[in-house]
Amino acid sequence: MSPERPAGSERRGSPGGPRRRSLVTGLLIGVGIAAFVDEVVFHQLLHWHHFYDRSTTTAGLVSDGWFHAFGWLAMVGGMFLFADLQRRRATVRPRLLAGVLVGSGGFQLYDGLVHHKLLQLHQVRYGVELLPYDLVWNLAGALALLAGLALLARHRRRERARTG
Amino acid sequence: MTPLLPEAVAVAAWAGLGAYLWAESRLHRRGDRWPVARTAVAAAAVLSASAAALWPVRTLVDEVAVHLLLTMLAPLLLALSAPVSLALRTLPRAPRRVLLALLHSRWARAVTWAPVVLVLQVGGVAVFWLAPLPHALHGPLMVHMLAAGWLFSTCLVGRDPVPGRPGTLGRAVLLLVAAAAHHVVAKLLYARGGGSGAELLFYGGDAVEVATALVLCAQWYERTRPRPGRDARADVTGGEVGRLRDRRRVPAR
Repeated sequence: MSPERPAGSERRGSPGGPRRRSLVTGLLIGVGIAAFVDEVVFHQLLHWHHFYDRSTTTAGLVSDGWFHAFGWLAMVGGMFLFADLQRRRATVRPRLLAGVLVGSGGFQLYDGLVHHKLLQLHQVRYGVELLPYDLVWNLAGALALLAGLALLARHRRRERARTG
Repeated sequence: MTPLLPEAVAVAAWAGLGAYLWAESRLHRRGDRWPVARTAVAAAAVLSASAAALWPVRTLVDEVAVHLLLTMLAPLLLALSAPVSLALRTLPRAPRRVLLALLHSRWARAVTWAPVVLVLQVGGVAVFWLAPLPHALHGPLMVHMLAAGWLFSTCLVGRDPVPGRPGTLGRAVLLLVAAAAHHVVAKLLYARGGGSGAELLFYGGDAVEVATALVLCAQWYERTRPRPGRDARADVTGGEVGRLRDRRRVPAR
């Protein structure tokens, strides 16, 4: 046990090439952005969302705890992965962008459907007719998700055409 | 906290810092180097712990502040200051041998094993905030949380070597589980009328989680830095990207 050994002194290899890494990085950043916007805009600035709602179930609390923690980790991890891709000049831009759209849209949709509706964690806003808010919330998420998937498919088609 | 314990914590923290500086001066005298950043975080850990110890506790908010400073922030800083490595390098032969025997004991292996560390960490927090504890147990449990927090931070980002420490991805999962559990505890406390104390627990926990994640990622980023020559070619071909999972060789005993 040599005391001066740093927290990690291992060598690196290469599995998970730049294509997959770009997508994963985008997904993490996307989830991070959606979670950040949710927290900052809707909880802190607008005060539409409530920290805790009397109808919150235990399952809702657990799911929310996971997602809140994951949002922060995804943001930090995604940024560092992006920096790593950039310093290696290995970013595959369309896949990164697709990842951001799929990640943020997917998170938004999960939050809107599972957290708000299924688990009744809290609502988009209180004291108003909810339906338009719910529709906008979830449609925005679905649109981003679909756009991301379409972008991913288009990039894959182009790649295939290029390589023959 | 129970009476007398705050003073004991503060005294122990400053005595620890004294020992740290003394050990460092021994290193310098024999011409060895010790990163100044480690000394700085050691001092910051002691400041955080003694601020917590001297904090006047009147409301739940105060109690939460003490918890955040003493059992979350201070352990993180302590882990970054590599106290065990410093001790191993500077202790006289006899106590050094005792410390090594302790570190290599089956007991030490057990309490530094990631799942055990996680249970100690999360269990302490959950029991402290949610179980109906007699007042006399608050102090001892605080000490447990401090120790568990140190093990947890050491396992995640500590500068001291830990045999069998999980890779970066495993450590991220460990951090995720602990942070999620912390959030759930904070909301359950809120549901019981914890009010702004519970909110501070929630968001203060966030701050330490993010700080830990930043250190964890920065260490990974530094470790996987492309080395000129070997990796330059791979960059041109767009081939290699840094591994997420670290292959770690456990040092031979």
